[in-house]
Amino acid sequence: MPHRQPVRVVTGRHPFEVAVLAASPLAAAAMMATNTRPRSVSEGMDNAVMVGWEVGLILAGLIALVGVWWPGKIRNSLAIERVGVLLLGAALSMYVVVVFASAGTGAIVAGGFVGALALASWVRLAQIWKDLRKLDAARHGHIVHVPVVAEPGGRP
Amino acid sequence: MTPEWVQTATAILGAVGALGGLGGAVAAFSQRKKARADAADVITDASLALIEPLKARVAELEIEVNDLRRWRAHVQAVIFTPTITVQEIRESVRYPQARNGRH
Repeated sequence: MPHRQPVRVVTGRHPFEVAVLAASPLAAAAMMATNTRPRSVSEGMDNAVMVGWEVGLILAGLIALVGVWWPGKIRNSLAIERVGVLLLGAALSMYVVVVFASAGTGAIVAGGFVGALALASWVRLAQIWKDLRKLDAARHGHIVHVPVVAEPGGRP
Repeated sequence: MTPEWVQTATAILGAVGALGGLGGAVAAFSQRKKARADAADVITDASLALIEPLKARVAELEIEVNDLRRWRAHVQAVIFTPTITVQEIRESVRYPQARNGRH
């Protein structure tokens, strides 16, 4: 039997990611409901692009959250999360462009934080991509629940 | 107020997101189907592998049953005459006066 290494998949069920994924559709829905957009967005985007941006934010959060909590196979969970994270990365990058273009150094905080989240989305996308490839390489694997490595009273 | 390139950049990013999202969705769906088909294959293989020895065993048992049937018919035929004889003897003991063992 060939020596096989377990495939480790990085989960998206992480407070930072879940918080951002939840905030995205909430913010977009609130913008649509109240018909208010940041000035940078309404100035920097075509109308059609802006609507697409808002729909993208909503879909991104919802799809990625579904993926993160997908009860079925881990492969499908990652594939669904990948769609949401990609949408989120694109939508957040759009905002970063318009906010810096509109406010310049005034956008350091808003643009900086959203930019960090956009970057994190792209990195997460690459991470999912890598994990999916690892899973594909280990076609006939199955999921094993590994117990906690460090236990109280045990050696560190 | 904002330069032209901002609108272009956001439009391009939006297109990237939309197209990528669509591609990802298609990939996710096709992957689900593929995984399901793989699982069906595995199940089929497994059940065939399980059925094979059972088939062989059934064939063996059929042969054995046929042998036993034949053996039973043979034994029945062999035992028939002695059974009649025993009956006749028993009756002639019970009714000694009767002729030919019958009354």
